Amino acid sequence: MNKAMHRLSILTNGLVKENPVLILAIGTCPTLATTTSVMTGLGMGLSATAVLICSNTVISLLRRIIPDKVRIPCFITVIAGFVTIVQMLLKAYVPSLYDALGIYLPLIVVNCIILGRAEMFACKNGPLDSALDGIGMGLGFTLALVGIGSIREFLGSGTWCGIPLLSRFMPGMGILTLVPGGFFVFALVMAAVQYASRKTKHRSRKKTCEGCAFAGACHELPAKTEA
Amino acid sequence: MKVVRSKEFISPIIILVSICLIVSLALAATCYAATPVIEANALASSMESRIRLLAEADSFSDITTSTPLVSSEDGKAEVSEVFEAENGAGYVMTVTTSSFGGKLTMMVGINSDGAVTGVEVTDHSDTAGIGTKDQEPDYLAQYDGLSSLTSTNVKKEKAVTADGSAFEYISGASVSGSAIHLGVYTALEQFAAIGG
Repeated sequence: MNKAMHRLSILTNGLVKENPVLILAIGTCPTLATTTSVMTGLGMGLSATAVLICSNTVISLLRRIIPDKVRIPCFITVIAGFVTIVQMLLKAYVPSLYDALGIYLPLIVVNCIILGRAEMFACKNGPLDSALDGIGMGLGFTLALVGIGSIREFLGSGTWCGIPLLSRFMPGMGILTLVPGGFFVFALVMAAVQYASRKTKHRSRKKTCEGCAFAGACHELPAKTEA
Repeated sequence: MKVVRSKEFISPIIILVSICLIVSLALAATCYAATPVIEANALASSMESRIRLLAEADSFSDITTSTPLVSSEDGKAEVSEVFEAENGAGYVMTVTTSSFGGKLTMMVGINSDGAVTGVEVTDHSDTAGIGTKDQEPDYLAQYDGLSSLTSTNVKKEKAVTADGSAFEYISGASVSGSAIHLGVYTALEQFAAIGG
């Protein structure tokens, strides 16, 4: 039971609590570049997720074989291999997405999230846990891209997933589809998520008195703490 | 001492080289499976572009090898492919020019009367939102119906568009505009060289 709970927490960690983009602030470059529309954000997120799952699993399987001295070149080789495979498959089967992602697709090789998870998690944990971490972090990355992409596309182009919505009534705010708009929206979404996560933490602390400096002297504490 | 050295230096080298070899094999297998699909996609996409640019054509034949290809005087633009409509409706030329971000590939449709029927940029590395403004259909439509250009420089162009208005270029993105203009100029020269 504990193991199952532990694995569930690995999976959900990347979604909000340790969201790579909105909490850890890594993978910022592709986030700003590919969130001009929902579909490009989704495509980038899913491509990075596929690479993340595969590279995490393979690196975890090879963790006892790879010598510490050459671990970074080995990780990069494995990651670059998977990115090139995804690139070729997208070019063959989803050429429109391949064109839309442009240079940012091969740049997944140096995406901090993928190398970061290989170094921080996959080389220290088993293949199943590493794959779950890859799924969680990848989905967290994808969610952030789709969220930011939705705001930028809806307000910037007046559409959502290419469906005309706001554009029927008013022209979009063009700046939001450009780089400055990317920074504005990214900062606002990040601030909102930070605010929400701090509020949640604050509430949970209130309930348990965990971390309160005055816990020992507090008269309103439940009997459990006094005992 | 020798055993320590072998563990310290030779084993990492062997493992890294082995990983590189395995990854290369996986890439070779993927490339072998994906390349025919990628090539078929590229051919289909080029053919769709040609039909869009010369709607009167039914099918095309590649006459690139049998045609002397033209390039601009400064060498910045050159015709790389010439396709002839099999029903005699005209030609579609693929032109490669030098633009702000590097190589720009475009297609120009020219009917049997020598008038441009359409221009389309198929590949480029220009700045999104700036250089790409010169590639928008509204801007490129001003070449439609023109059978000659007076200058290779878009800023000095004196030709009048089909609807009678003066020729325009986008300020701030004139390098890309000039590259496209030179591409159309070279395509018209190619048409003249074919004897159309």
